[in-house]
Amino acid sequence: METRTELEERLSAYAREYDREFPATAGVERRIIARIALAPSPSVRAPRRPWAWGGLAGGLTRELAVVTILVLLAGVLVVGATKLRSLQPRSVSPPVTATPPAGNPPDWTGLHFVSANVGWIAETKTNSGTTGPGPTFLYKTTDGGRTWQQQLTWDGAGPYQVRFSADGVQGLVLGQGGVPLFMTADGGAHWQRMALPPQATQVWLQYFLDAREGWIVSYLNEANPGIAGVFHTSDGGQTWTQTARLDVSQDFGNGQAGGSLQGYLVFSDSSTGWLTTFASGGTGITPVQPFPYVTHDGGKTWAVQTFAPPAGVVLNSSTAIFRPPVFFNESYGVELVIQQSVPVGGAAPALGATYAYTTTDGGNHWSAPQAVVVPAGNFAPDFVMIDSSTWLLFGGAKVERTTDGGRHWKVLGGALPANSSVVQDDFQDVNHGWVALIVFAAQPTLELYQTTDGGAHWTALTVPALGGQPAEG
Amino acid sequence: MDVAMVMRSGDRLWFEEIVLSLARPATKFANVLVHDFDLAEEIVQEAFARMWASPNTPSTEVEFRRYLYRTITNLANDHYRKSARRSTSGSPVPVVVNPLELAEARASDEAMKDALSILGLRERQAIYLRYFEDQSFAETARIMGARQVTVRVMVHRALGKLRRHLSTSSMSDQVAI
Repeated sequence: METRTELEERLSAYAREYDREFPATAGVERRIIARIALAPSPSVRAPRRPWAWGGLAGGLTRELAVVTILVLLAGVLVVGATKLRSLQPRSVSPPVTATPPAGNPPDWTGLHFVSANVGWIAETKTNSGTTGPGPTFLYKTTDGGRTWQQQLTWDGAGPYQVRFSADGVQGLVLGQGGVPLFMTADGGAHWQRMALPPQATQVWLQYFLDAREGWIVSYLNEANPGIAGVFHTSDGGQTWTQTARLDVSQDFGNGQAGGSLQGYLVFSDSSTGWLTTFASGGTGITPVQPFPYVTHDGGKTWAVQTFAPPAGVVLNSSTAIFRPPVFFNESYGVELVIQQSVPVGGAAPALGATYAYTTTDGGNHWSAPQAVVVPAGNFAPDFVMIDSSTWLLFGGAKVERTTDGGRHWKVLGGALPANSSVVQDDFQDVNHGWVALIVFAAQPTLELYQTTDGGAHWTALTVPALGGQPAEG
Repeated sequence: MDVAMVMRSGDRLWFEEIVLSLARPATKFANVLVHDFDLAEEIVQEAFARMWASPNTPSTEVEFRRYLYRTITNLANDHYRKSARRSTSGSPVPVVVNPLELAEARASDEAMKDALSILGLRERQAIYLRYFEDQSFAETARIMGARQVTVRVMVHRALGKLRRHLSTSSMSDQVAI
């Protein structure tokens, strides 16, 4: 038997060999930088960063809290969901945490109303440090947000999607990476946990069109790396069918070898879907095409969906960011593109104009690019799109609305709390909607509001207490 | 250009330099934890994305690296938890055909490769940091978020496991011959 010293020397030799034989990671670096280029910076939301820009540094608790909450809500990708705590509905259960720690309030996701009275929202306990978020609680209201009943609990992050049929009977809760996946056929009284197809070992993209039909894209457990499968279900995940086998590097490589499944998947109907990948862009990176991929056969085959560039503008991965398209029904949708300037000399790109493309035929044809006016004081904002022309923009107490697709904006009266930030929204039409927001204070709080006049006025609703405490209005 | 935009640009340049500096060691580290290059890359991408988005990301490279490695470990843990949960939830899990283990597969010390695979995630992390990156026990402990004495015990036990496994496999080879 080897001595410890001999073993250590052998380990070191193995480590050197491992290092020498490890493949080049230039593609990895390129894709990371590309992804960063597309991600919102914390400084966008909080104009202070404690570790940089010494003169501007400083840590305002509330800004940090905003970023924390928004980051958690932004679809941060890894699922911590593991263990189902309860499949049976219950209206009251002991609180897991009665008082969240200061500056680290729960995370809200999955806000979804099917009528003025019936809706759902998920609340996730956020942990400090590097431990993952969870547990998550799903609540339902049947009286317009006056009271909430806990329906479902699981460990891990909040849902990526919550889908319900118009009558609120058929429902589905989908986590990032497809975990967890719950289905209900009785409005949430009972939930059934569904399994993913066994071949799908690493799910990176998921999208449900409604409470029954959805897709996942996952790497396959094969000897040949980089092969992904597209899986489809039309019964809420009870059965899955593999519809495609794709070489990620070639099929989603943006014209170069080395594609990735990092991005967003969106379907507008059972056949037509888009995959917006994180194209490469950044300092010292060769630009590639920035366009999303489209399928017209339910994910079997994918092709680049090109868009006409605005006059005088070159669209490539260093000059343009294509957001995931937003569809309001099978026909109408909007694709937003944010232009970046690329200074000579290696300086970092800066965000420039925003353009909107619209479709009225489910994405078969797209309009010419229309310049979007970004109201002053907003940097790379996330518009709340209610339909192709009516969008809202939330900034603290101020609510701004456009009814012409971003050409003109009007500040609404608004009654949302100052010093707040909207983290979830759900609109049934141009008038009726709900928002969940965080109000910054020494002890940040979460609040829920409803509007029935398109955002001009807001009514506060009762907030469910984390851990299943019943809330009374 | 407003302040936010200036800061965003500065942040990005700074972050890109960090990515170019740490992406490779981070990918090697992740690959040791998950034994799958595709998954390792996705985990590293996700870790960098989280650190880019987080307001708590440290400014110095040393601190950044510690934070990055912890994030990667947590993501690897998530992956294993998810896999374990799937395997206990009734879904059949196919036999894992490890596509590469890339460098591992090319390394000639097959016995060592096999032996490393028997270690737990935390042990693998400690062994990697100590012997693959030549980190001190103090630094290994800082990266792992553990006490130094804990890491020393962990490495000691991991070496014991490796030694026993290597000894056993060596004897098996001799018998076979």
